[in-house]
This record gives sequence, C-alpha cells and structure tokens, in this order.
Amino acid sequence: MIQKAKESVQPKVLIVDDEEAICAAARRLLRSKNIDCVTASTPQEALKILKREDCWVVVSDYRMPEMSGTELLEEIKKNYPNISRLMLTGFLELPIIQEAINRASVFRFITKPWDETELLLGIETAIQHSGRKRTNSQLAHEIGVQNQKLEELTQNLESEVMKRTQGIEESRRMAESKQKLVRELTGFVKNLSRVSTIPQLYEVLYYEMTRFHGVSVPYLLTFEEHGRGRLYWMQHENLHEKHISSLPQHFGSLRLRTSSPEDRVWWESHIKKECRQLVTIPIRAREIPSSLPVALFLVEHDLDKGKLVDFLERITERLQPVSIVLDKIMLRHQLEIAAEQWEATFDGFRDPIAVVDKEEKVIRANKNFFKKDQSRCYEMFDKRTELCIDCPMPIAISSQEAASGLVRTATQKSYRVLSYPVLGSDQVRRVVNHYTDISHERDLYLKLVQSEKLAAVGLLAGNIAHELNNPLSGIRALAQLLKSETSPSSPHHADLDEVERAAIRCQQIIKNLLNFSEPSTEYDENVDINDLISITLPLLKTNLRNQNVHTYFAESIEKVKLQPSQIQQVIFNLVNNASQAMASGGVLTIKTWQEKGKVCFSIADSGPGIPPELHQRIFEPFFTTKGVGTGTGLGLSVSRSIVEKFGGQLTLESKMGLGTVFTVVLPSKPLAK
Amino acid sequence: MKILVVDDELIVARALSRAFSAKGHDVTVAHSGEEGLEKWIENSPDAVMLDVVMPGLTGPQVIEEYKKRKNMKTHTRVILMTAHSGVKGREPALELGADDFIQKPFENIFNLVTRIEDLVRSK
Repeated sequence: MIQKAKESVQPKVLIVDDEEAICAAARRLLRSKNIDCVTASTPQEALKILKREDCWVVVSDYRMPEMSGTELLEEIKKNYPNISRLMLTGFLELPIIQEAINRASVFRFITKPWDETELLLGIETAIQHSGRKRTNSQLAHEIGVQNQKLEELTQNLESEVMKRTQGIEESRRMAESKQKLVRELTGFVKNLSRVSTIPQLYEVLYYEMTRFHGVSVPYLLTFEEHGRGRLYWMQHENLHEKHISSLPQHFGSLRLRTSSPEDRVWWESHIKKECRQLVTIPIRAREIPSSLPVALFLVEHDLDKGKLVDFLERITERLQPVSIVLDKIMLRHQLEIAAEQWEATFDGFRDPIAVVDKEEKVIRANKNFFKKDQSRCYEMFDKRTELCIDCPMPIAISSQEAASGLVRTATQKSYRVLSYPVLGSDQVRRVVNHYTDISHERDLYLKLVQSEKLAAVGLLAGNIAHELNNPLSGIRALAQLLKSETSPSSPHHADLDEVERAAIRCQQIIKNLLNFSEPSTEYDENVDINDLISITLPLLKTNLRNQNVHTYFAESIEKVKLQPSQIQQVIFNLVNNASQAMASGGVLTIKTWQEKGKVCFSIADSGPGIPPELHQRIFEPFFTTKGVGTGTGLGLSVSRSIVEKFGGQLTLESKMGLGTVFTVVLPSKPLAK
Repeated sequence: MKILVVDDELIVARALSRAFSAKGHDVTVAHSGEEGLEKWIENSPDAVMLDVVMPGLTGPQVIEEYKKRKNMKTHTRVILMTAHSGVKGREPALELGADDFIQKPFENIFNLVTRIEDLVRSK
C-alpha cells in the first residue's frame, strides 16, 4: 500500500480524461450538485492526486495515451481498494468491459457522451458504494486493531498469571523454610529448657550440631576457677569429660573466630588428632554482651564458605538461649557448692543444731541433731510428745530475741538450749535451736552445789551440836545421878540405863555430823566389815521389829582401813532407810563380799522401789521423801560423802515394786590421804 | 566447898548442882552471865563452872568483867565448859583466864565432880 492521503469526510470525486472539455463539463456538473471534484488529464497526474487527496470515486476515460483506463483503475484497485471505480467510454465493447471488470473490478460503465442523470446517478451510487467500503474497511481495521490488542492482552495475562503463580510458590517455600527454622529453634529451646547439668547441655548441642551436614562432633569447654576448665565431647556414643588444669589466657576474652591456628594447636594437643577446620564460639554469661565468656564451643568442620556462614548464622541464633541455660547451670552449681559448704559447716558442729518453724517442725538439722522419722523437734530430740520442759523457743518467738534454757532429757543428759529467732518482715518465721551438752558441767555444778550444801550442813552442825550437846549433857548426867541413887534391881535403874544409852547415841550422831565440817580427830583402824555390821545391827533392833533380817557374810574378808564409827553411821543410815521403806514388813538382806582389791557390802530391802528420776536426787542434802519428823534429808548424802572420803562408792539399784539395793564398795587399800 | 554453876541450859545446871550437892558441896546456880558475875562477886565460891556460850555475857566476858571489878587475882578456880566445837582443849581456855576446860557432853558426871574437887584442893 502506498502512502495514504488524509482521509476526507466529504466525498470527493476524481475525473480522469485527456480531453479538457470533458473534465470541465464533469466538473461543472458535479459542482453544481455540490459534489467535490478534482480532475486529472493523465493517469500519472491522477495517481499523484490520489497520493495527495483522499478521493472516494475515480471516473476514468478508457482511452488515454500512455496508460489505458483499465490499467489505471487496476492500479487504483490495487492501491486504493476503497475507491469506487467508474469508466467512461465512447463504445461498449464486450472484451473491454470484461477485461475492465476482471482486472479493475470497475463498478459501473458510463457511455460518452453521458447522460447527466445517468452520470450523476452512477457517481452517487459509487460514492455510496465507496462509503460502505470505507466504513467496512474502517471497521475491519478497527476489528483488526482490537484483535491485536486482545491478543496482546491475552498474552500479557498469561505471563502475569505465571509470574504471580511463581511468586506465590516462592513465598510459600520461603514461609515453609522459615517455619521449619522456627520449629527447629523452638525444639532446640524446648530441649534446652530440660537441661540442668553441663553434660545434658552438651548432649542437646551435640544433636543440634550433628544435624548440620559437614560438621563433626562438637566440643564444649567450660571455664572453672583459677584458670581451670572442663572439656566435654561425645565419642562412640559415650559422653567423655576431661579436666583441663590450665587454660590459655586468651580464651577468657575470645571472640567468635574460624580457623585460628592458635586454637587449632591447643585443640589438637588435647584431642590428640589432626583437625580439619575449626570454629571457636565463645558463650557469654547472660544479659551482659560485654562480659567475658564462661565457656567455649569448639566445632570441627569441612564446610565451604557459604555453608559455614549458614552454620554460623544458625549457631549465633542459638547462642542466647545456650547462654541463659549455661548461666542457670552455673548459678545452680554455685548454689549447690554453697549449700554443701553450709551443710558441712553445720554438720561440723559437735553440738546439735536444728532450724525449727513456729509449729516446732524441724526444717533442717545437722548430723548431731538426732535424725529420725519424726517431724517435731521434741520428738527427735527426746522422744517427747510435747515441747521439752524449759525449752526457750516460745520465749524467743514471743520476745523476738534470743533466749536460753536448760533442758533435761529422759537419758538424764542436760542441754543448754539457745533459741535464735529468724525474723521475716516483722514476725518470727523460724527459730535456730543450738543445743550444748552440759551434762558434765551440770554434774560438776551439782557436785559443787552438793559440797556447798554439805559445807552448810557442817556449819549448821556446829551450831546444832552445841544446842543439842548441852541438853544431852544434862540428860546423861542426870541419868547417871539418878541411876546411882536407885537400886540396880529396881526397874527404874534399867529405864535410866536406856535413857543414858539414847543420850549417848544422840551424842554419837552429833559427833558424826560434826565430822563433815571439821577434820576428824578419829584415827583410821583396820576394820573387819563383817564385825562392824554385826555390832551395828543390834543398835537397830527396835527399827527392825517388823522385818526379817537375812545376813550373808563372806567367809574371809580383807580388813579395811577406816574410821569404824563413820562406816557404822553409813550402815545405820542405810538399814534405817530400808526399814522405813518397808514399814509394814519385808525382808532386809545384808551381804558382804570380796572383790579384787575391794571390800563390798549391800543392804537390800523389799520395799516399793525408788522411781528412776529420783535416783540422783536422793543423794542431795536435805532431799527427803519421808514424812515430816521422820527424816532429815541428810542420811544418804552424809553416807555417800563418808564412803567417798575412804575412796569408795555408794550406789543404788532399784526396781519399782521389787525393792532397792544400796551397795558400798570400799578399797581394801585406802587412798593416801 | 562453895561451887557456883553458871549455865543457861537448865538441865545442865540442875545436873551439875545435883552432882556437887550429892558430894556435900554448897552449890549456887546462875542461869546467865550477868547473874553468874553477880553471884561470883557476892559469894566468892571456890570454883565457878562457867558455860562459854550464853546469851548476854559469855563465859570469857564474865571472867573479864570479874577481874575488871575486883582488879585482882581471885582464889576462885574457874572451869570453862562448852558444847561448842569451836573451842577446843585446855590451852585456849587458860588464855581466856580459866583454870580448866571441860568439853560437853560429860562422859561421866562423877568423874567430873572428882576432877573439880582435885582442882580446888590443888590450890
């Protein structure tokens, strides 16, 4: 197609004829009918005009020089198909018409000279024809353009859909891989949360690392005090642990690094094998990024650069939770050590110590606080069912200050108990009880008290002696006088004898009492205990009128060096006690026997017995179980000190309901005085 | 013989009095140091049986008082008696100005009387 002339809306007609007159006539005719019209005298001119102007209809003469009308119209048909083509001809020969129709698709033939009406009708019809063709071609063109656009659109849409689909696929993959990473991290953290020891931590790290292809068994090095450390690694599915006595100093300030020759040398020297590539990853204490590492993670690998970056990213992501766990473990470890130290200190005390709550439940106690299944302090301490008598705990709780008390156990031990209250906000939350066994001190104290009491007795005795000796002198003297004035055969004589004897006995008792306060003036004699008992028993005849007396004397017995009247006093006291213990009757058994270097005698009654808690107390001065006027509370204490003065022992054995045996053991060779 | 017995313990005073009387001696009894001092001055006895521990004037004080008032040595034999364990033996008693010392309780009242008689006669 040749270049198109500007399309005109107004139909324009081109008349081509080599005869100017015809052109003019046609021009005149058409213009008169208001039809736009141009004329050309040659076919070349016509083609030029067409290039310039948009003509709807071309009316060409058939016979023209240079080029026939058929050739021109054929050319026009070829280049401007929308132009309706008419042919003017003077003669209508069939072959010409056929050729024109076939070659140039001539729309209509008009004969010359034309009939104006025919010409105008022909031209108008041609204009309409061309108009239709133009519209059609316009439509066809537009359809073509639309089709092209549609095609383009369709193509675009497909690629867009493809692009979108790829994008969605991509992000789905990314989301999935992210989800996987998060899942792995969550799983890792979850595993970490169950970790409470370093070996457990190592195990979690081990499984985490070995999932990464190209990474070998990891090594965990924890730092301990004084530049020491501990190395953990897995070998043949067993966890190994190695103590490192001296760590390189630079480990303490290390940052994450790969393939450090320094680390490598150290590592190889400890692992005893050659290393491929090594990553050293410090693990710091929690929350303090600038703090020094508390452990190192050493990982041998053969990763390329890209994979190593991935691996390090993965590791770095996990370092924080690892730090937290490590921190937790170390804190726990320190707590354990501290607790152990406290416990050892606590147990190191020789004295029992117990931490007790306000309900007397034992929270903690040291080894020396008797550990049993019970929960209350008094149950454990003394098998009691309620607080120990004089326990200072209630005072410590109510006063919120330390308190002390003296507690005696069923086993006759004495404890000084110090209760220290532990104050919570503003009230006592628990009490620390510290028990000191003062049984020995207590015994000494009691002995001291006893000797003090005896000293007091001595002093008292001095005064009493005077008071008693005076009237006794009178009684005795008067008895002697009266006796001298009565006949020996008179019953009064015997009565007065009895009075004098009683007075003598009284004087003897007073004399013995005085012996405690002052050095005796009596001399030691070698005495046969059997004889001594034999001469003493008759003096007690009246006391023993309700009892059966059995004596079992050793056949031969060593003599003992002592003051006979004093031991007589002991015998007198013990027999007197025995008879009083079985006032309504019973059996008094007196035995003597010889042991190696010792002479012994025992005086047993068949009375009700002495309760265990009184076994000690009855030896205390002024302690008496007898009714008013019956005992002085001095008999046994005096007897014991007499026996001890001669290096002997006075002990008792008593069973409730069966009776009591007092045994005197005297050394046959007395102590040097 | 004139004997003065000074003792706040009635039964002792009575027993001594009866024992000396039984041997035919002239016995005067006083029950306190003050009374004893008065009767000593008044009667000039051959012997004074003087208890050491008495309420008011004690035996040694009676001796002292007597010597202070008479300002001279007496012919009277003074025998101190005591049941108190604090005073022992003859020597301390002689230092107190006595001629003899007797520890109560008496073993035998008749021996005691004989001993005092001997003491007075030895003058």
